[in-house]
Amino acid sequence: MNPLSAFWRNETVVFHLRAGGCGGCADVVDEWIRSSGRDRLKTTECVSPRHADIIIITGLSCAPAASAAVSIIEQAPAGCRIIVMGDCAAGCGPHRKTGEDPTRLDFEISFDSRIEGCPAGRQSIAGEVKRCLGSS
Amino acid sequence: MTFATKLFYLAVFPGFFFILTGGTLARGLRQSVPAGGHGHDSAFPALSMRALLRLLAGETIAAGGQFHALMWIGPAVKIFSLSWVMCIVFGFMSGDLFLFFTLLLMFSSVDLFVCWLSGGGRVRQQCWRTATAVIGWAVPLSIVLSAIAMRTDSVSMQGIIGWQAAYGPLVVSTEGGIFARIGSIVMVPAGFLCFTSLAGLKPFGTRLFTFQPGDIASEFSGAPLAMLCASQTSALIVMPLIFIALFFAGPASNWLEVVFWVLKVAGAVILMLSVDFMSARAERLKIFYWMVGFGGTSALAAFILTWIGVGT
Repeated sequence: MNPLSAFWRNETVVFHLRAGGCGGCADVVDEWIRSSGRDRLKTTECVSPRHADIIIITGLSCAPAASAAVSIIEQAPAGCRIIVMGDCAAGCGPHRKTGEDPTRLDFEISFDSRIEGCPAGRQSIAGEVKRCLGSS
Repeated sequence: MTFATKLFYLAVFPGFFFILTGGTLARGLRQSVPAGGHGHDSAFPALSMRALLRLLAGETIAAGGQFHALMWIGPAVKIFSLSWVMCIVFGFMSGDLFLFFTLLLMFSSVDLFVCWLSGGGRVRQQCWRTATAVIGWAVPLSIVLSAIAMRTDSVSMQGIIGWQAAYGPLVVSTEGGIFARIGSIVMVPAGFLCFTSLAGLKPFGTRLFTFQPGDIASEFSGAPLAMLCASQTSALIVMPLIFIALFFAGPASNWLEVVFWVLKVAGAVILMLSVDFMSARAERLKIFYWMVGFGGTSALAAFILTWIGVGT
Protein backbone atom coordinates (compact mmCIF):
# COMPACT_ATOMS: atom_id res chain seq x y z
CA MET A 1 0.00 0.00 0.00
CA ASN A 2 1.15 3.49 -0.76
CA PRO A 3 2.11 5.36 2.46
CA LEU A 4 0.49 8.49 1.05
CA SER A 5 -2.88 6.72 0.93
CA ALA A 6 -3.02 7.21 4.71
CA PHE A 7 -4.13 10.75 3.96
CA TRP A 8 -7.30 10.09 1.98
CA ARG A 9 -8.06 6.38 2.21
CA ASN A 10 -11.62 5.57 3.14
CA GLU A 11 -12.93 2.29 4.43
CA THR A 12 -16.30 0.98 5.43
CA VAL A 13 -16.12 -0.08 9.05
CA VAL A 14 -17.97 -3.31 9.73
CA PHE A 15 -18.96 -4.71 13.10
CA HIS A 16 -19.67 -8.41 12.97
CA LEU A 17 -22.08 -9.72 15.58
CA ARG A 18 -21.90 -13.50 15.89
CA ALA A 19 -24.87 -15.14 17.53
CA GLY A 20 -25.14 -18.93 17.97
CA GLY A 21 -25.41 -21.62 15.37
CA CYS A 22 -22.95 -23.55 13.25
CA GLY A 23 -20.82 -20.49 12.45
CA GLY A 24 -20.80 -21.08 8.71
CA CYS A 25 -22.21 -17.66 7.81
CA ALA A 26 -19.92 -16.05 10.38
CA ASP A 27 -16.90 -17.58 8.70
CA VAL A 28 -18.11 -16.35 5.31
CA VAL A 29 -18.45 -12.81 6.72
CA ASP A 30 -15.00 -12.93 8.32
CA GLU A 31 -13.46 -14.10 5.08
CA TRP A 32 -15.38 -11.49 3.11
CA ILE A 33 -14.26 -8.60 5.34
CA ARG A 34 -10.62 -9.55 4.80
CA SER A 35 -10.96 -9.94 1.04
CA SER A 36 -13.65 -7.39 0.19
CA GLY A 37 -11.21 -5.65 -2.14
CA ARG A 38 -12.16 -8.31 -4.71
CA ASP A 39 -15.69 -6.83 -4.69
CA ARG A 40 -14.35 -3.30 -5.10
CA LEU A 41 -15.15 -2.48 -1.51
CA LYS A 42 -12.69 -1.42 1.18
CA THR A 43 -13.87 -2.73 4.50
CA THR A 44 -12.28 -3.20 7.87
CA GLU A 45 -13.55 -4.83 11.01
CA CYS A 46 -13.98 -2.98 14.29
CA VAL A 47 -14.44 -4.24 17.83
CA SER A 48 -17.03 -1.72 18.98
CA PRO A 49 -20.46 -1.07 17.46
CA ARG A 50 -19.82 2.61 18.20
CA HIS A 51 -17.31 2.74 15.33
CA ALA A 52 -19.44 0.86 12.81
CA ASP A 53 -20.87 1.97 9.49
CA ILE A 54 -22.47 -1.42 9.02
CA ILE A 55 -23.40 -4.17 11.49
CA ILE A 56 -23.68 -7.70 10.10
CA ILE A 57 -25.52 -10.19 12.31
CA THR A 58 -25.04 -13.90 11.77
CA GLY A 59 -26.32 -16.93 13.65
CA LEU A 60 -29.25 -18.04 15.68
CA SER A 61 -30.49 -15.79 18.47
CA CYS A 62 -32.43 -17.37 21.31
CA ALA A 63 -34.19 -14.96 23.68
CA PRO A 64 -31.24 -14.21 26.06
CA ALA A 65 -28.79 -13.84 23.14
CA ALA A 66 -31.24 -11.60 21.31
CA SER A 67 -31.54 -9.20 24.26
CA ALA A 68 -27.73 -9.07 24.53
CA ALA A 69 -27.50 -8.45 20.78
CA VAL A 70 -30.04 -5.66 20.98
CA SER A 71 -28.09 -3.94 23.78
CA ILE A 72 -25.00 -4.07 21.54
CA ILE A 73 -26.83 -2.81 18.46
CA GLU A 74 -28.32 0.10 20.44
CA GLN A 75 -24.79 1.49 20.90
CA ALA A 76 -24.34 1.97 17.17
CA PRO A 77 -24.61 5.44 15.65
CA ALA A 78 -27.89 6.40 14.07
CA GLY A 79 -26.54 6.22 10.51
CA CYS A 80 -25.31 2.67 10.96
CA ARG A 81 -26.92 0.08 8.64
CA ILE A 82 -27.89 -3.34 9.97
CA ILE A 83 -27.74 -6.47 7.84
CA VAL A 84 -28.87 -9.89 9.01
CA MET A 85 -27.18 -12.67 7.15
CA GLY A 86 -28.04 -16.33 6.78
CA ASP A 87 -31.18 -18.34 7.33
CA CYS A 88 -30.71 -18.56 11.10
CA ALA A 89 -30.38 -14.81 11.65
CA ALA A 90 -33.09 -14.07 9.11
CA GLY A 91 -35.51 -16.33 10.96
CA CYS A 92 -35.99 -18.84 8.17
CA GLY A 93 -33.45 -21.45 9.16
CA PRO A 94 -33.76 -25.10 10.13
CA HIS A 95 -35.53 -24.22 13.37
CA ARG A 96 -38.40 -22.70 11.43
CA LYS A 97 -39.18 -26.14 10.01
CA THR A 98 -39.51 -27.64 13.47
CA GLY A 99 -42.12 -25.09 14.38
CA GLU A 100 -39.87 -23.55 17.03
CA ASP A 101 -38.50 -20.20 16.02
CA PRO A 102 -36.00 -19.07 18.59
CA THR A 103 -35.10 -15.99 16.57
CA ARG A 104 -36.23 -12.93 18.51
CA LEU A 105 -34.10 -10.21 16.97
CA ASP A 106 -36.61 -9.29 14.29
CA PHE A 107 -39.17 -8.47 17.00
CA GLU A 108 -36.80 -6.04 18.67
CA ILE A 109 -35.08 -4.09 15.90
CA SER A 110 -35.62 -3.23 12.28
CA PHE A 111 -33.08 -4.34 9.71
CA ASP A 112 -31.92 -2.54 6.61
CA SER A 113 -31.24 -5.73 4.75
CA ARG A 114 -31.86 -9.45 5.05
CA ILE A 115 -29.75 -12.05 3.24
CA GLU A 116 -31.07 -15.58 3.13
CA GLY A 117 -29.07 -18.71 2.44
CA CYS A 118 -27.38 -21.49 4.39
CA PRO A 119 -24.75 -20.28 4.30
CA ALA A 120 -25.29 -17.06 2.38
CA GLY A 121 -22.76 -16.40 -0.36
CA ARG A 122 -20.14 -13.67 -0.31
CA GLN A 123 -21.55 -12.12 -3.50
CA SER A 124 -24.84 -11.48 -1.68
CA ILE A 125 -23.02 -9.71 1.16
CA ALA A 126 -21.13 -7.49 -1.25
CA GLY A 127 -24.33 -6.62 -3.11
CA GLU A 128 -26.28 -5.79 0.05
CA VAL A 129 -23.43 -3.77 1.56
CA LYS A 130 -23.15 -1.74 -1.64
CA ARG A 131 -26.92 -1.22 -1.65
CA CYS A 132 -26.90 -0.10 2.01
CA LEU A 133 -23.97 2.24 1.45
CA GLY A 134 -25.69 3.68 -1.59
CA SER A 135 -28.81 4.40 0.40
CA SER A 136 -27.02 5.92 3.39
CA MET B 1 -1.40 39.63 19.34
CA THR B 2 1.02 37.48 21.34
CA PHE B 3 -1.91 35.36 22.48
CA ALA B 4 -3.10 34.86 18.89
CA THR B 5 0.42 33.99 17.79
CA LYS B 6 0.72 31.34 20.49
CA LEU B 7 -2.64 29.91 19.47
CA PHE B 8 -1.32 29.70 15.90
CA TYR B 9 1.79 27.88 17.15
CA LEU B 10 -0.35 25.39 19.07
CA ALA B 11 -2.89 24.86 16.30
CA VAL B 12 -0.80 24.94 13.15
CA PHE B 13 3.00 24.99 13.36
CA PRO B 14 4.69 23.33 15.15
CA GLY B 15 1.50 22.30 16.87
CA PHE B 16 -1.47 20.18 15.99
CA PHE B 17 -1.67 20.41 12.20
CA PHE B 18 2.06 19.87 11.75
CA ILE B 19 2.31 16.84 14.04
CA LEU B 20 -0.88 15.31 12.66
CA THR B 21 0.47 15.56 9.12
CA GLY B 22 3.84 14.12 10.11
CA GLY B 23 2.21 11.42 12.21
CA THR B 24 -0.12 10.43 9.37
CA LEU B 25 2.87 10.01 7.07
CA ALA B 26 4.62 7.88 9.70
CA ARG B 27 1.51 5.78 10.16
CA GLY B 28 1.19 5.39 6.39
CA LEU B 29 4.74 4.05 6.40
CA ARG B 30 3.79 1.63 9.15
CA GLN B 31 0.70 0.44 7.30
CA SER B 32 2.56 0.07 4.03
CA VAL B 33 4.38 -2.95 5.40
CA PRO B 34 2.31 -6.11 4.82
CA ALA B 35 0.20 -7.15 7.79
CA GLY B 36 2.10 -10.44 8.16
CA GLY B 37 4.91 -8.45 9.74
CA HIS B 38 2.83 -6.95 12.49
CA GLY B 39 -0.04 -9.17 13.43
CA HIS B 40 -3.46 -7.68 13.87
CA ASP B 41 -2.95 -4.31 12.29
CA SER B 42 -5.19 -5.09 9.37
CA ALA B 43 -8.13 -4.89 11.77
CA PHE B 44 -8.64 -1.28 12.74
CA PRO B 45 -10.97 1.41 11.48
CA ALA B 46 -9.76 3.61 8.68
CA LEU B 47 -7.81 6.49 10.17
CA SER B 48 -6.93 8.61 7.17
CA MET B 49 -7.51 12.36 7.27
CA ARG B 50 -10.75 11.72 5.40
CA ALA B 51 -11.86 9.15 7.97
CA LEU B 52 -10.96 11.52 10.83
CA LEU B 53 -13.05 14.28 9.26
CA ARG B 54 -15.92 11.85 8.84
CA LEU B 55 -15.61 10.83 12.50
CA LEU B 56 -15.51 14.48 13.58
CA ALA B 57 -18.84 15.05 11.90
CA GLY B 58 -20.26 11.72 13.06
CA GLU B 59 -22.48 10.89 15.97
CA THR B 60 -20.95 10.63 19.44
CA ILE B 61 -22.52 7.88 21.51
CA ALA B 62 -23.09 9.17 25.04
CA ALA B 63 -21.27 7.40 27.85
CA GLY B 64 -22.60 7.37 31.37
CA GLY B 65 -21.35 9.07 34.53
CA GLN B 66 -18.02 10.84 34.91
CA PHE B 67 -16.69 9.11 31.85
CA HIS B 68 -18.77 11.27 29.56
CA ALA B 69 -16.81 14.37 30.62
CA LEU B 70 -13.51 12.54 30.34
CA MET B 71 -14.46 11.25 26.90
CA TRP B 72 -14.45 14.83 25.63
CA ILE B 73 -11.67 16.30 27.78
CA GLY B 74 -9.16 13.41 27.62
CA PRO B 75 -8.35 13.35 23.88
CA ALA B 76 -8.23 17.16 23.78
CA VAL B 77 -5.72 17.12 26.66
CA LYS B 78 -3.59 14.58 24.78
CA ILE B 79 -3.51 16.70 21.62
CA PHE B 80 -2.89 19.90 23.59
CA SER B 81 0.01 18.30 25.52
CA LEU B 82 1.73 17.08 22.38
CA SER B 83 1.26 20.42 20.61
CA TRP B 84 2.72 22.30 23.57
CA VAL B 85 5.65 19.87 23.78
CA MET B 86 6.42 20.52 20.13
CA CYS B 87 6.27 24.27 20.65
CA ILE B 88 8.83 23.87 23.47
CA VAL B 89 11.10 21.66 21.34
CA PHE B 90 11.00 24.09 18.42
CA GLY B 91 11.62 27.01 20.78
CA PHE B 92 8.38 28.78 19.90
CA MET B 93 7.33 28.73 23.55
CA SER B 94 9.48 28.79 26.64
CA GLY B 95 9.43 25.87 29.01
CA ASP B 96 11.82 23.93 31.19
CA LEU B 97 12.31 20.18 31.39
CA PHE B 98 9.89 19.95 34.31
CA LEU B 99 7.05 21.38 32.20
CA PHE B 100 8.16 19.18 29.32
CA PHE B 101 8.01 16.06 31.50
CA THR B 102 4.66 17.09 33.01
CA LEU B 103 3.12 17.50 29.56
CA LEU B 104 4.29 14.03 28.55
CA LEU B 105 2.86 12.69 31.81
CA MET B 106 -0.46 14.39 31.04
CA PHE B 107 -0.45 12.85 27.57
CA SER B 108 0.15 9.37 28.92
CA SER B 109 -2.03 9.55 32.04
CA VAL B 110 -5.23 10.20 30.10
CA ASP B 111 -5.24 6.50 29.11
CA LEU B 112 -5.04 5.58 32.77
CA PHE B 113 -7.98 7.81 33.72
CA VAL B 114 -10.00 6.39 30.85
CA CYS B 115 -9.36 2.87 32.13
CA TRP B 116 -10.30 3.86 35.69
CA LEU B 117 -13.52 5.62 34.84
CA SER B 118 -14.72 3.40 32.01
CA GLY B 119 -18.01 1.61 32.42
CA GLY B 120 -16.70 -1.35 30.42
CA GLY B 121 -15.28 -4.21 32.48
CA ARG B 122 -12.73 -5.23 29.87
CA VAL B 123 -11.40 -1.68 29.61
CA ARG B 124 -11.10 -1.44 33.40
CA GLN B 125 -9.05 -4.64 33.33
CA GLN B 126 -6.40 -2.66 31.44
CA CYS B 127 -5.79 -0.37 34.46
CA TRP B 128 -2.76 -2.21 35.81
CA ARG B 129 -1.22 -2.65 32.40
CA THR B 130 -1.64 1.04 31.60
CA ALA B 131 -0.36 2.11 35.02
CA THR B 132 2.68 -0.14 34.55
CA ALA B 133 3.36 1.44 31.18
CA VAL B 134 3.16 4.96 32.64
CA ILE B 135 5.52 4.10 35.51
CA GLY B 136 7.69 2.19 33.03
CA TRP B 137 8.55 5.23 30.94
CA ALA B 138 8.25 7.93 33.62
CA VAL B 139 10.87 6.53 36.01
CA PRO B 140 13.72 6.07 33.48
CA LEU B 141 12.90 9.24 31.55
CA SER B 142 12.97 11.42 34.67
CA ILE B 143 16.46 10.09 35.48
CA VAL B 144 17.60 10.49 31.87
CA LEU B 145 16.38 14.09 31.75
CA SER B 146 18.18 14.82 35.04
CA ALA B 147 21.40 13.39 33.62
CA ILE B 148 21.04 15.42 30.40
CA ALA B 149 20.36 18.59 32.39
CA MET B 150 23.44 17.90 34.51
CA ARG B 151 25.71 17.35 31.52
CA THR B 152 24.46 20.31 29.48
CA ASP B 153 24.06 22.51 32.56
CA SER B 154 20.66 23.56 31.28
CA VAL B 155 17.09 22.79 32.34
CA SER B 156 15.45 24.07 29.18
CA MET B 157 14.95 22.21 25.92
CA GLN B 158 16.41 25.11 23.96
CA GLY B 159 19.45 25.13 26.22
CA ILE B 160 20.02 21.42 25.61
CA ILE B 161 19.66 21.81 21.83
CA GLY B 162 21.88 24.90 21.88
CA TRP B 163 24.55 23.00 23.85
CA GLN B 164 24.50 20.22 21.25
CA ALA B 165 24.66 22.76 18.42
CA ALA B 166 27.81 24.16 20.02
CA TYR B 167 29.57 20.98 21.19
CA GLY B 168 28.04 18.30 18.94
CA PRO B 169 25.29 15.76 19.59
CA LEU B 170 25.15 14.55 23.17
CA VAL B 171 26.18 10.98 22.37
CA VAL B 172 29.30 11.92 20.41
CA SER B 173 30.26 15.21 22.02
CA THR B 174 33.79 15.32 23.36
CA GLU B 175 32.88 18.02 25.85
CA GLY B 176 33.16 16.85 29.45
CA GLY B 177 34.96 13.93 31.01
CA ILE B 178 35.16 10.41 29.64
CA PHE B 179 32.63 9.22 32.22
CA ALA B 180 30.11 11.83 31.08
CA ARG B 181 30.54 10.68 27.51
CA ILE B 182 30.03 7.02 28.46
CA GLY B 183 27.02 8.06 30.53
CA SER B 184 25.44 9.79 27.56
CA ILE B 185 25.86 6.66 25.43
CA VAL B 186 24.38 4.48 28.18
CA MET B 187 21.29 6.68 28.50
CA VAL B 188 20.36 6.37 24.79
CA PRO B 189 18.80 2.85 25.04
CA ALA B 190 16.82 3.94 28.10
CA GLY B 191 15.56 7.02 26.26
CA PHE B 192 14.73 4.94 23.20
CA LEU B 193 12.65 2.54 25.30
CA CYS B 194 10.81 5.44 26.93
CA PHE B 195 9.89 7.19 23.69
CA THR B 196 8.93 3.93 21.96
CA SER B 197 6.63 3.20 24.87
CA LEU B 198 5.20 6.73 24.80
CA ALA B 199 4.45 6.38 21.09
CA GLY B 200 2.49 3.23 21.90
CA LEU B 201 4.73 1.06 19.74
CA LYS B 202 5.61 -2.53 20.50
CA PRO B 203 7.10 -4.14 22.51
CA PHE B 204 6.38 -1.95 25.54
CA GLY B 205 3.74 0.49 24.34
CA THR B 206 0.34 -0.51 25.56
CA ARG B 207 -1.65 0.49 22.53
CA LEU B 208 -1.45 1.93 19.08
CA PHE B 209 -4.35 1.31 16.74
CA THR B 210 -4.79 -2.17 18.12
CA PHE B 211 -8.54 -1.70 18.57
CA GLN B 212 -8.77 -5.05 20.25
CA PRO B 213 -11.57 -5.76 22.69
CA GLY B 214 -10.75 -3.90 25.90
CA ASP B 215 -8.87 -1.12 24.14
CA ILE B 216 -9.78 2.33 25.38
CA ALA B 217 -10.79 3.31 21.84
CA SER B 218 -13.84 1.04 22.12
CA GLU B 219 -15.26 3.52 24.66
CA PHE B 220 -15.03 6.43 22.23
CA SER B 221 -17.00 7.40 19.16
CA GLY B 222 -17.52 10.37 16.89
CA ALA B 223 -15.45 13.50 17.51
CA PRO B 224 -13.72 12.24 20.70
CA LEU B 225 -12.60 9.11 18.81
CA ALA B 226 -11.27 11.31 16.01
CA MET B 227 -9.29 13.37 18.54
CA LEU B 228 -7.99 10.22 20.26
CA CYS B 229 -6.85 8.75 16.94
CA ALA B 230 -5.30 12.09 15.98
CA SER B 231 -3.32 12.20 19.25
CA GLN B 232 -2.08 8.62 18.82
CA THR B 233 -1.13 9.38 15.23
CA SER B 234 0.69 12.57 16.23
CA ALA B 235 2.71 10.72 18.87
CA LEU B 236 4.32 8.71 16.06
CA ILE B 237 6.23 11.79 14.92
CA VAL B 238 6.51 13.70 18.22
CA MET B 239 8.35 10.96 20.14
CA PRO B 240 11.08 10.32 17.51
CA LEU B 241 11.55 14.07 17.20
CA ILE B 242 12.03 14.49 20.96
CA PHE B 243 14.43 11.53 20.97
CA ILE B 244 16.52 13.22 18.29
CA ALA B 245 16.32 16.61 20.03
CA LEU B 246 17.61 15.13 23.30
CA PHE B 247 20.42 12.93 21.99
CA PHE B 248 21.27 13.79 18.38
CA ALA B 249 20.44 17.48 18.03
CA GLY B 250 22.50 19.89 16.01
CA PRO B 251 22.41 23.36 14.54
CA ALA B 252 19.55 24.37 12.24
CA SER B 253 20.76 27.71 10.94
CA ASN B 254 20.55 26.96 7.22
CA TRP B 255 18.47 24.76 4.92
CA LEU B 256 21.08 22.04 4.67
CA GLU B 257 21.11 21.64 8.45
CA VAL B 258 17.31 21.62 8.54
CA VAL B 259 17.27 18.85 5.93
CA PHE B 260 19.79 16.94 8.04
CA TRP B 261 17.44 17.33 11.03
CA VAL B 262 14.55 15.96 8.95
CA LEU B 263 16.66 12.98 7.87
CA LYS B 264 17.63 12.26 11.48
CA VAL B 265 13.97 12.32 12.55
CA ALA B 266 13.01 10.09 9.61
CA GLY B 267 15.76 7.68 10.67
CA ALA B 268 14.41 7.62 14.24
CA VAL B 269 10.88 6.96 12.93
CA ILE B 270 12.11 4.06 10.80
CA LEU B 271 14.15 2.65 13.69
CA MET B 272 11.17 2.77 16.06
CA LEU B 273 8.85 1.24 13.47
CA SER B 274 11.40 -1.50 12.75
CA VAL B 275 11.51 -2.42 16.44
CA ASP B 276 7.71 -2.36 16.41
CA PHE B 277 7.53 -4.76 13.45
CA MET B 278 10.00 -7.18 14.96
CA SER B 279 8.42 -7.35 18.40
CA ALA B 280 5.38 -8.84 20.04
CA ARG B 281 3.45 -6.74 22.53
CA ALA B 282 4.88 -7.42 25.97
CA GLU B 283 2.74 -8.45 28.91
CA ARG B 284 2.40 -6.26 32.02
CA LEU B 285 5.16 -7.77 34.16
CA LYS B 286 7.61 -7.83 31.26
CA ILE B 287 6.91 -4.14 30.67
CA PHE B 288 7.72 -3.47 34.31
CA TYR B 289 10.89 -5.60 34.39
CA TRP B 290 12.26 -4.21 31.15
CA MET B 291 11.27 -0.58 31.51
CA VAL B 292 11.93 -0.06 35.21
CA GLY B 293 14.54 -2.83 35.49
CA PHE B 294 16.64 -2.43 32.35
CA GLY B 295 15.62 1.12 31.44
CA GLY B 296 15.77 2.41 35.02
CA THR B 297 19.13 0.75 35.72
CA SER B 298 20.63 2.10 32.50
CA ALA B 299 19.33 5.56 33.28
CA LEU B 300 20.66 5.40 36.84
CA ALA B 301 24.06 4.18 35.63
CA ALA B 302 24.10 7.00 33.08
CA PHE B 303 23.19 9.51 35.79
CA ILE B 304 26.01 8.34 38.09
CA LEU B 305 28.55 8.29 35.25
CA THR B 306 27.51 11.77 34.14
CA TRP B 307 27.71 13.01 37.72
CA ILE B 308 31.24 11.63 38.05
CA GLY B 309 32.22 12.94 34.62
CA VAL B 310 30.88 16.44 35.15
CA GLY B 311 32.38 16.64 38.65
CA THR B 312 35.88 15.72 37.55
